[in-house]
Amino acid sequence: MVSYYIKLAWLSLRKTPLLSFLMIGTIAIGITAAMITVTVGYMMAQNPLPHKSERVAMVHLNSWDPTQPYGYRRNGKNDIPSTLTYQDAMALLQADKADKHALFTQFSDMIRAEAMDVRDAQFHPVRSTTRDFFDVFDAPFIHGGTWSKEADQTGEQVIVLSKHENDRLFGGINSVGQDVLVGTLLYRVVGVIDDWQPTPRFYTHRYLMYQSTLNYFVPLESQIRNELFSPTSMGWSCWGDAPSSTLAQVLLSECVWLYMWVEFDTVDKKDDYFHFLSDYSEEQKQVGRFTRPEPNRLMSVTEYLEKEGAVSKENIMGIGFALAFLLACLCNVMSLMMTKFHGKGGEIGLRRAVGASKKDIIIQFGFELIFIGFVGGVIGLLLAQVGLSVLTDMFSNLHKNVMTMDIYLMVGTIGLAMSTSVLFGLWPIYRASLIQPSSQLKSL
Amino acid sequence: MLKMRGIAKSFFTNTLKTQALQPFDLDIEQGDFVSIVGPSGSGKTTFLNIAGLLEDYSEGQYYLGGKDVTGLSDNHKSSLRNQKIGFVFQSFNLIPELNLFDNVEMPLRYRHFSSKERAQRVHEALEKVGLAGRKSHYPQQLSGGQQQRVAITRALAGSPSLLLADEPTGNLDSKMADGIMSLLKDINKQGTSILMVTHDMEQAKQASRIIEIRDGHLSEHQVSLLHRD
Repeated sequence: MVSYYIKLAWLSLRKTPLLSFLMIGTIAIGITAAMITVTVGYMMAQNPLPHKSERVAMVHLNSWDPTQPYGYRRNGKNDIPSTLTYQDAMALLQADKADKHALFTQFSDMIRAEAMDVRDAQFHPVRSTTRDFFDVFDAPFIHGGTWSKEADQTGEQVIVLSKHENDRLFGGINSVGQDVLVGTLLYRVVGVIDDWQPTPRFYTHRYLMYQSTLNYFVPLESQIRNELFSPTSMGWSCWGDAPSSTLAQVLLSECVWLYMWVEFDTVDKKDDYFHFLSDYSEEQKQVGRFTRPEPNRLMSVTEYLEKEGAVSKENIMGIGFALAFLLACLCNVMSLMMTKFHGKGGEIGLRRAVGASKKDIIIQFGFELIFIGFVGGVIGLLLAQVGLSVLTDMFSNLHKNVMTMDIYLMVGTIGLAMSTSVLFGLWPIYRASLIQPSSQLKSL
Repeated sequence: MLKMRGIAKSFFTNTLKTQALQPFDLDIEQGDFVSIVGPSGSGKTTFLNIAGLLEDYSEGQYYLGGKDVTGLSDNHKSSLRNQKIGFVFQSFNLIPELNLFDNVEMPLRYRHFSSKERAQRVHEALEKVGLAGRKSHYPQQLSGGQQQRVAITRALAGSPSLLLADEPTGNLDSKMADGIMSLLKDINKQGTSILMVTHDMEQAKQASRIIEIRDGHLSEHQVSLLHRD
């Protein structure tokens, strides 16, 4: 009977092409608007490290100015910095209380392969970090791997490239062992990571969460030893009167500029680490630091995303408006369905007369609605793809991942169109099933 | 095969009660060919709808094939209609976007016959009315007489024991009407009971029994006396 009902649905659509076009078109437009906004909201709210989001946490220490708060949270309470001073970061790193540590900042410089012409050098931001960065954040290597512990300690001039830059600099070959010039410094390639874009790029500031990952990674110690200082691009905040004109001065200051994430083998270790942070704060208080009252924080990926508001209120409102628009479209479709099914009274009467039960009629028209919803959903999906690609061009500061549907969203789009089509068709179908056959047999 | 006892039909318009059919008793035996005659608005179609389980009656008992159908659920009535009753309408009621095969096959679909059995029954039924070669044609490609033949074929495809025909020749010219009457008589000879509403007394006289409905009252006339008139 399924193929029979599909055939009847197809014939019915062909019988009233204008009405069918209007129904399918209305569903498609509603689905397009809804799915574009839902896609952006959904992708922004993704958990980028689902398998370990509770075991990876960001360290926030309240080393800020005792005279005024660092800032204010959305709830109006005093905030504390998300980044650390160099002295605190180094102290935590050397204490080695977590299983993995990813400490990082960034600088910018001209970069090219050693063999390239100087005119081919490009200005790029560089992530300076520790060797665990790739492991903690699941960056996949296609060639080589991260640098050694010794490289972290001695500031060895080694570099990890993204696949994109490896293609540009070395034509996509395995470039491990090749040299790259960062400014005037020679860095040896130790690894190449595949295309990698955690969405959101949760480990930095919320304003940077939907931007592309950086393409170059070097040991933090090498940045420090080489005095690679980019005050305009590294993101830092200072208080007090200490000088901060050079990187060496920043290292000694109370300026906060280093992000620190830690990973634990088990969630239980997080509590131990928080106690360790509390003890560290107490020690610092004894030497006159950490005098502000706000507590330190150890925020898991999900907690940090929630705090930073990965999905803004504006996004949620946008989704609400889009869903309201979809609802309006579906109400229109419902009225079109009423018209369509009303015109089929004669056929319903005949089918009931020759033996169709109410259930048979409901199934027949249910298939028609599923068919309409499916076609509307497919067209809506295609239009949404076009809309998202236009948005990607318009908002080039956001990574295209945010504007790209995953397979769940694609299937969900079709499912939403079909289910809402059926849901909003229930009333028209119910009305149609109530038609008395005897009243309609002269109207076919 | 059909027994009605004290069947009556009334309905209310606002507070005004209208008696569409006065209480009546009726027995139709297997193989009867009964004409229903009467002026417009007398209640003929209401009677036919009640007989075909398409409309509820207000009082009385109705036995179809020995089974009391009073108070049966909607689904049961659908199933009974499908198995025991065939319908033929004045305006043929073929679905225009379905070809002849699909139109005739429709009641068999709801009886859940296999596709092979459906195809065989439809082919045999269309062959009987000389339209087997046109099963992929659409209703609008046929004459009125041919369309009514297809409608009769559809009514008979499921081998019902009762055929209800509501002015089956009303939309046909006299030649086509004669052909349809001849077909109905053949069907009746093969054992199918027929209840036929008609305005045409000449056609009515071709039945074995004639029931007149006037102002909701049923009365039976002797066909032999009518022939003498």
